Amino acid sequence: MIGAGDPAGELIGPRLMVALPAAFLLLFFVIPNAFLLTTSFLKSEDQVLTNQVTLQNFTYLLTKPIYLTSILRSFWISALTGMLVVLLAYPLAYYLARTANRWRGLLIGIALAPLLASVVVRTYGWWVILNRDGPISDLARAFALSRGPLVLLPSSLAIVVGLTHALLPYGVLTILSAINGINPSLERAAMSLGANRCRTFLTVTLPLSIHGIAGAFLLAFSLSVSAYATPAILGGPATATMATRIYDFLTSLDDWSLGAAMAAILIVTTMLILFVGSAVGARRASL
Amino acid sequence: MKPWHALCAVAAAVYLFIFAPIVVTASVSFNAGNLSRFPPVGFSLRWWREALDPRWLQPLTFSLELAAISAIIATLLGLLLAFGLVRHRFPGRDLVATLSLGPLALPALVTGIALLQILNMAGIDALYGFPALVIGHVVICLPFTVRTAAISLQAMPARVEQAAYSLGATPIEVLLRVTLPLIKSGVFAGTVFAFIQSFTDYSVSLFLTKPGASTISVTILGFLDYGFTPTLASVAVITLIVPLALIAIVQHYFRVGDFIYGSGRHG
Amino acid sequence: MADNAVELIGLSKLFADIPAVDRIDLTVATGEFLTLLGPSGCGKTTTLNMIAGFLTPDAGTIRLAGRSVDRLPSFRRDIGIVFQDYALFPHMSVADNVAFGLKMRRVAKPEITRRVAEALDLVHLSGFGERRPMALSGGQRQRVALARALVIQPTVLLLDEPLSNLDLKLREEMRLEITTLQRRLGITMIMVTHDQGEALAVSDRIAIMNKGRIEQLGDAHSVYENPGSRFVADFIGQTNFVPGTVREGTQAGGECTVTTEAGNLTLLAPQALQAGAKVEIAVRPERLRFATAADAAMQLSGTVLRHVYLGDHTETHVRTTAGSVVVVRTGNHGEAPLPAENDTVALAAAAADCRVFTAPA
Repeated sequence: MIGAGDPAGELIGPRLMVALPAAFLLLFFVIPNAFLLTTSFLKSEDQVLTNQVTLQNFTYLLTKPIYLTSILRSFWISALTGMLVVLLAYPLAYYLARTANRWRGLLIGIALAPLLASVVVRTYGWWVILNRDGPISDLARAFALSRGPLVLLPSSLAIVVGLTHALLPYGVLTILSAINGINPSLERAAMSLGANRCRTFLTVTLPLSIHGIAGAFLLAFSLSVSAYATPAILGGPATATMATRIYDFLTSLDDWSLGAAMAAILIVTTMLILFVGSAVGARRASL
Repeated sequence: MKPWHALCAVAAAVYLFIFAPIVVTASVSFNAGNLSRFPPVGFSLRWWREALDPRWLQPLTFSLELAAISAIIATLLGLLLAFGLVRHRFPGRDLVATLSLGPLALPALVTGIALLQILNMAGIDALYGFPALVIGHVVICLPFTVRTAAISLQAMPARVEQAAYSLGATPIEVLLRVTLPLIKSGVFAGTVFAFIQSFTDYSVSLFLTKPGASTISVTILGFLDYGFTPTLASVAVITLIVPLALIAIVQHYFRVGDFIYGSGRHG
Repeated sequence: MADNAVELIGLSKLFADIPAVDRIDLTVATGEFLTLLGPSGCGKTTTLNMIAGFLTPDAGTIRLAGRSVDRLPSFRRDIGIVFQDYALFPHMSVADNVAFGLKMRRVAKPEITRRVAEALDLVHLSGFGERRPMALSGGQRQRVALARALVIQPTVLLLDEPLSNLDLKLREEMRLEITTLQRRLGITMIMVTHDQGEALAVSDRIAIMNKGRIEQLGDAHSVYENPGSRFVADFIGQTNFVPGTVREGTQAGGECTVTTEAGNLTLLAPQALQAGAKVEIAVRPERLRFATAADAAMQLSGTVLRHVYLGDHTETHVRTTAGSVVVVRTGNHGEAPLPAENDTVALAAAAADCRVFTAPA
């Protein structure tokens, strides 16, 4: 009946209202990704795609050492990044959740502010810090820890540092919302039963925020696995990851079937993480 | 030392970690030497002069235009979808809701590649550059605009629309005088997130640019292949100021934290 | 002006094939205050929403001021609504809230200003026009909602549980204010409530609804004194039910003889009863006396379980010889002392105060 519910629906029609954006996503998100997945199963000869269906692209990527190493490197870099994000984000989030500081709102804002800068920009700062003429190298020399300039770049560890920095705000957000979700009277109850602050934290707060920890780790992992800019800037040919390999396949090598196959591995990895996340009840975005 | 003081010290150290590269970048931009060095050697504005060269201003304005148009389109589509998801029950609703968050779940890099491929296959190379970038950016911005609009719609006081109808307002009057004014700050926040998402993106853009039609992030990324110069630091600081200024304006109207809890991507 | 402000004819609404409102017929005279009273899920709110135009009836017709509004959307029906949560526009000032309906009717600006001021004056909120609804108390918001709905001079004013969000004292104050306004302005009002006290206090007539149907329609006195069904007897006020069996059946409204633990009684039966049927005799707590009166139709004996002191009266719970528990209400104005707990007592009620209803299955 007219004049009963949603005014937008009455003007545009509920069907069109959903159909328009859904069609946009179908056309420019679902179908392209589906085609890309299909391509990963197609054989290509001399950089030209054929109609032959094959698993060859995958077996090639997973058996050829240089590619397998890149895939594995992506995984361990992402795992290490995820752990570091949790390790750094947890104390900060716990502090922000429990502090009585009247600038608390501002402190939270500052912790999230780096999200406003492009990762490219933030990674550039790490390049300046870590390069052989940078302050770390200078410090090492000043304290005679190394004779010549300290070579920190390119390296996988530099990539880990860059990614940890890039993803830290997400970790803080996820863990902060998990800690905020804990009923404060539970902590008070533990203390009234004789537990001191440390014990209360270890036996009540930490176990109850475990979903936030899992969420932060998995989010950092899945965003690291597909990150391109950080490994491209702080890494080099010797530290290629899945994302930089994809870039090379599509640009310099012009090999779409291998690029698509690598992208497919990336998609499967991310989907797997989503699945693991929902299985362990990790906190994540929901509408 | 009490555990709480130890925690404060750790928190301070993490803040230092968060701000180190940003502070370093800013100070390098005033460096007098030829190299990107920290601490800076001398003081000079030459890198800022270079940063204001058309070579950098062109991609900067390109990115601003792209972000503005993508954010507006994403807001309109997101608003429609939010109305549909929040206010109506239809078969496949859960599927559409999941789909609307899909671009957050899948790597943006892959979305960019997939778009490139489909444009290739469809033979519409003419779309490379601005049109293709708008499409890609709207895709990755949609989850933000749908989410914020949906949250505002859900938070709207119950039955005010029915009250307006009962007082004789037609659907268009209800929409313009009651519904939209009540959700406008949430929708606006979504637009700002979309703008920042688009402005700071490189993953989708990487494959969809063409010479003369490239975003600032991709231009910086391409330039890094030729080495690191302090000009980049100046450019980087400029790209940082734009979203910061925008958020400062929005923060005035709205609490941003509410809307980014548990969502977002970068990396 | 039409004699009847609202006519509902055979109105039905199904939710998932279950009737929420089941073939209701109801006529509300112009200037009348009618209350739809019933427990949650009885269909009273659904009925209100159909009158308002927020729900489409599955069958039946709604006529407002003599003309059918079945094809009219809500915004053309000329009704006013006061919502349970007031539904004030939070982004508008009090004056703009009240002016909204007039603006929609394209009333000239000076007239809007005048009528808004009048309406605010009517609800004692002159000088509050520039405030935001958020800055008002619950009672004040309620008044704004009332002014906003009254200012458009609707055919009928619908009130959806209007007092349920207010605390007790304020509720009684607003209750009085609404009835005063209604009498003064002669507006037709339909109120939905689950609060029987509210319904009894304000209504010209009360329609008691149950399971989508109107169980009884009448003024406060008649629904309380002459409940037409066990549901009404139970829902309105407090009632004791004493089980029994029909010895001689009767037509609806006739007298029948019932065997109970108190012996054979001849009582009024609002509904038709057949011999042998399981029944219950309804009697109000305040109509039971501690007495052995020879003239009383019903006499019970039992043991005092406990007294519950409630200020102006005391409720005494008595277990009868047959095992059911009845409540006796005695005013606390220092007459005869109450029996002590565990005392054996005799209870009596006049035949006119007892009704026989079929026992629920």
